[in-house]
Amino acid sequence: MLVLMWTMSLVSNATSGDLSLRGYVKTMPSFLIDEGFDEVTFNNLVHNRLNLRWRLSDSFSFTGEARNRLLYNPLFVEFPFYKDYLGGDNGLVNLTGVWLDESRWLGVTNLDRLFVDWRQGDWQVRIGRQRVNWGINMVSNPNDLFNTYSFFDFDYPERPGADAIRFQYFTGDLSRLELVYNPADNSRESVAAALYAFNRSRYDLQLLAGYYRHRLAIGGGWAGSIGEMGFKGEATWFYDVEAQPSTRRGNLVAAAGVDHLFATGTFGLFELLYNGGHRRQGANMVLITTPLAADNIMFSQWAMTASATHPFSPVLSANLAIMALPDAEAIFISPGFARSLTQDWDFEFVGQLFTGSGDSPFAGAGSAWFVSLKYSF
Amino acid sequence: MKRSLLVFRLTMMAITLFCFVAISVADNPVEIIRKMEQRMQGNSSYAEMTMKTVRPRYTREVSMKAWSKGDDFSLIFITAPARDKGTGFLKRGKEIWNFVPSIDRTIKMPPSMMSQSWMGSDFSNDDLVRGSSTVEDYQHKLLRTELFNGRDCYVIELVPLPEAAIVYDKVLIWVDKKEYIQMKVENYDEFGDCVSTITFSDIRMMGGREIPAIMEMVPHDKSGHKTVIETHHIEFDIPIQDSFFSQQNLRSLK
Repeated sequence: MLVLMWTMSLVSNATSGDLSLRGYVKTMPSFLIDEGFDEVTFNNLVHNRLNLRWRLSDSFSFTGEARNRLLYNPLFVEFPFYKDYLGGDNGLVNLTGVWLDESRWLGVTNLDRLFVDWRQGDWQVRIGRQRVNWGINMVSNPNDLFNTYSFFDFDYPERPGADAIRFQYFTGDLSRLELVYNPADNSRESVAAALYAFNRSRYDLQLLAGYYRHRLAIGGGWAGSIGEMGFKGEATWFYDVEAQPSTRRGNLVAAAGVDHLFATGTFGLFELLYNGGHRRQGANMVLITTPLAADNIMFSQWAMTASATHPFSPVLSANLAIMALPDAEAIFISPGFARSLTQDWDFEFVGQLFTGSGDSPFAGAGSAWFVSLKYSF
Repeated sequence: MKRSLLVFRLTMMAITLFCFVAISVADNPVEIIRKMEQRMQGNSSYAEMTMKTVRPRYTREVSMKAWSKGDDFSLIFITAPARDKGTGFLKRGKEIWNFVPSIDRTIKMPPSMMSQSWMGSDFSNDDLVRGSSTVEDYQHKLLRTELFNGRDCYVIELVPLPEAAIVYDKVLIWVDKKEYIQMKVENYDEFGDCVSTITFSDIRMMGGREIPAIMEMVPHDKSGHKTVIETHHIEFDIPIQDSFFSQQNLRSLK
């Protein structure tokens, strides 16, 4: 509530002129229920996002975005490393601060965007913590080299930023060349890559190549259509710079899918993923929400996802997503609905059911049920 | 994505209808409609609009800035509500892209978006596409002249050609005789019942010409439902290059 009042007072002062402050505040209580339905854990999250943008001139701007979260979770006592994970910062510079750490409580602020942007004519340069999004698909993004990703962490669509320097040269109305360097403390963990995106025969196409955490990466993607249906895909091939004993040197990660808006208003999509970088790991609910990397993007070698969203009215929509991981013998099901309460208040319900055989990544994960109330400003 | 789809369709609706505003008529309805379409859609425009979806128990608004050039180019920037501000849409020919600022991604929309109706709104598929095919897809007949809202109007009947994929059986259009302003549209189904009415009001000088600032669509089978599009500001024939409608501009609108 204090955060809300504080942001409200800032907003009233800041939205004029070239300075804008926007964002949202939400509360999201949830229940974790184990597979046998005999243990229920209650969590709560109060989450505020602040997006500050300051335009100094037509070509120069500054952006800073903060994610403030107050979490209550009894699992913190049992799994202290979960707290370490939430309070950690993967960037070159630590821009995450923990301001409350009391047994079941954690208060954490993360600056996930902090950059200067300069553009002149066909050139654009952006330096600092930023989102570099090369993904095309709706579910799995093998081309998204600069971000960690988790399909299951639905509460963070913005995703963490990458500390990077990024050059973009717009070679045409629908084409561009990008060069991005994302350094890391250990230079072997850094990423540097180039992307060329263009449009041919009503298809968006892209090609990329670079250095990805001591591996070579070469890939490409497309977004177009077959008849009335959207058709998208992306693939990246990774190859170790130095051969590792015990693991294969190269692996492919590829995903393709179709999407369609039906006459009833239902939006449906289907996507197939081949994750050649899959390595078996233990099952753990905490791990499920831990982001994966572009060269090993899922908890299995194969994944099939089907999802449908239907708007029942201008303010109410329901959706259902099902992901099957056949070789891991696991299934993820997520029903949900979203209701706009007023122009700026939204209510949402999301369920996440994980199920799988005894040694699958989802074994014993049970289910999680969330409701959220969000105010956007 | 799902919200984006809705917002996009609402905005395309607004743009298309806007172009439809001043279709006009003289003695040969086909010739006149063609001329008026050319004149109205002209070269280019910039508009600031709000679309209000009204239901018995609630109202929702979407505000936008929109640039367009001919039938092939448009660029839309959502300014409200707060949740969607910064979202952009680019249309070039038959291709559409949606820019989502929070994830810094430009999404290519499936073509099914272009040709289908959406749930929950008062506008149908036909309302969307008719703007660009009022000449080709109908047979036109000048029925009569009559007074509507204090203006002397032509009343023209449009009957879809057999091969045209249009759900209405008949459309009536009222056009002001003097200024060629679109005043009213009535859509009829196969039973001869009027299913929806679009009225145009608050006629004023904007962008150097007299046009209606308010369009209101009322479906007759749903009591308390309507959609209102209000134009706050418009400029016609602005100097604008095709290259303005680029992915770079889609990502950097303000």
